[in-house]
Amino acid sequence: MRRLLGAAGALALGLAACTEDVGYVEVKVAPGYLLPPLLLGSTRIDPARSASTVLRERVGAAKLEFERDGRRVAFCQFDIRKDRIVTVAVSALGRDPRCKVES
Amino acid sequence: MCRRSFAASGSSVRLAVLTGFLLLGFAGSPAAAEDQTSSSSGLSKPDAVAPVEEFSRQLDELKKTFADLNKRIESSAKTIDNETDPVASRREIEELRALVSALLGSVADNGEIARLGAKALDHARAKEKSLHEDTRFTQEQRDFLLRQWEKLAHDTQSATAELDAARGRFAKVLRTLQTNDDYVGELMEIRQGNEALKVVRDLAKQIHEASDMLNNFINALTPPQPGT
Repeated sequence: MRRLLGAAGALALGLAACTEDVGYVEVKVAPGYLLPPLLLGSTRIDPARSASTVLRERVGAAKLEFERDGRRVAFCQFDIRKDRIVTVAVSALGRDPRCKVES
Repeated sequence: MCRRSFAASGSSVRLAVLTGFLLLGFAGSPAAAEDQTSSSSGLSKPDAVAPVEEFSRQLDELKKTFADLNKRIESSAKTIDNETDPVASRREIEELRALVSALLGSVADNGEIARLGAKALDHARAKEKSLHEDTRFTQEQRDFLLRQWEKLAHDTQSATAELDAARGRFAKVLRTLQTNDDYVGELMEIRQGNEALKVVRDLAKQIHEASDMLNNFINALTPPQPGT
């Protein structure tokens, strides 16, 4: 655990020195919904595995998609701002996921 | 407001300094005249030299005090300017946010540590699975190795759970910072206001002391009244 924290500290310093502007997206899945796999850019989120996922992303416009029959369907769009976190609460209406964005 | 009252007190101090020097200028002439008179008369008056030296010493001391005070006023004005600058407090919040952001980045789900943790856990579980089917070892050896890998997988899972907790904490702090942006800004400005107040109080005390010094000097110049 100590090694892990040490690595976290070193990485934090490394990231602080990094010039790329990044922000964060927290994807929260409301309990009691059966959702298909979600995708944010190249990151795949399995809603059944974790109720909350925090992703580090480049600043700018972003969209959350779900996967159905091998196709990606966008259902939520939002902005990622530098050093800020945007929370996307995902639930479902029928078969389709829906979202509520809080920034 | 602090800046305005400070500017007012600053100019009154400068006025007091000027008045002091003018008074010294007037007061200096008779002393110099007295000095000249005593040297031209050729009389040796050791008692008359001492007050002139004392005057000269006090004058030097006073000049030095006021020069120092003027410097102090200028540096305090700069300090107060900095302390009451809203841009500075805004910058401080941004720095704080960048710091929390960097920490959150290190523990994010798509961050390097989370990836390494998941990889380590997958590896430990894969080893457990393969050992069950491995025929190279005796039962005793296999049991021992399995216990070791089970323990490793369990500990790795606990460590990644700690990572989840840290992620949650940093995300919460970052969210609090951005939702209370204006409030945090106000709190920081209050803190800066308190710093500025300390500077003003310190300066007022020094001005008061210098003023006392000037009064004492002026009193020392006034000749004693007959019968006192």
